[in-house]
Amino acid sequence: MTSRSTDEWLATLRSENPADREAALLDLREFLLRAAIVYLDTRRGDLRDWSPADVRSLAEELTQQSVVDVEAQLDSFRGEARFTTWAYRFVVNRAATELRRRRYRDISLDWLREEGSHAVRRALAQDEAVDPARAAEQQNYVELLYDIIAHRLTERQRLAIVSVYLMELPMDSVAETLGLSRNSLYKLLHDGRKAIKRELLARHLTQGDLLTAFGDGD
Amino acid sequence: MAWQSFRMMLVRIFATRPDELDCDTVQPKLPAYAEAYGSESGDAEEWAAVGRHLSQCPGCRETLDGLVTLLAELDAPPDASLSAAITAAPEDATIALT
Repeated sequence: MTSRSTDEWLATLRSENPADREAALLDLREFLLRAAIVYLDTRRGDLRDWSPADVRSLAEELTQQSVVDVEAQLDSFRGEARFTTWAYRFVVNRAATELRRRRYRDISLDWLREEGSHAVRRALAQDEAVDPARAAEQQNYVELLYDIIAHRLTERQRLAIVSVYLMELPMDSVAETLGLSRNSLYKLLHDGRKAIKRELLARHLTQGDLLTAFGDGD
Repeated sequence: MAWQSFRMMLVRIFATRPDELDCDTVQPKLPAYAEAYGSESGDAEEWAAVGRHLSQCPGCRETLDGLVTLLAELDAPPDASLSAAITAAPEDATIALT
């Protein structure tokens, strides 16, 4: 595996000499395979039931896809990072997406609607340990937030906010379920947050008011 | 966990700005951000905008965390078992998964 500077990587991967280009692709594959194996090793919790042979097979699959990504997007590389760091992003995104797919394969829109409603209730459920005065204040805020989330957001904004922020489901899985790109899901989340913030500020509520009310016993 | 998520959501709501960068803008910047992570290098204003997006976007945050971890691990001295895993036949690979 030959070490190359960023300029050398670009020159050889774009070379018109097939032998140079082939050698660079082989080295790239080695770099990315090492990255895939290291990344998967950091995610060992998600791969508890996997045999080493299966992990290696997944690493090779991810490497193959990432090499294709790098070749396809080489012209978008702007030199802001080292070439190898730029290329590692494809491995990380491919690997993270694949691990999520295997873990969250059964998310449907109906399931999101059903579970999302329980999630709001659970997240906004009152802490029984707080004193009565604080409990009453919390209850007021809980009802207000529940009303805003339930009635002041569009259904898609509500599903996005609840799934990603309260249920902590992976964005790619939620985006796929809603039939959106991740970027569109982000915009939906942004619109939802703006709407909730607008409603809270209209009632002269600040972050301090709410976080103090829902503080950890302070 | 639900309570913690709820508090985090409140922080995110109040931190919301009209001019947030979106994922398509931030993703290509993440390799350089990961290299500059923890240092003073780079465009402070741009990194602040990327940082604000990352605090709102668990998806891009996951990419950054993966890159930062990867760079730290790959800069570390080679791990003998890891090298073996790369070069060995699949059935002999010894990746620490337990």
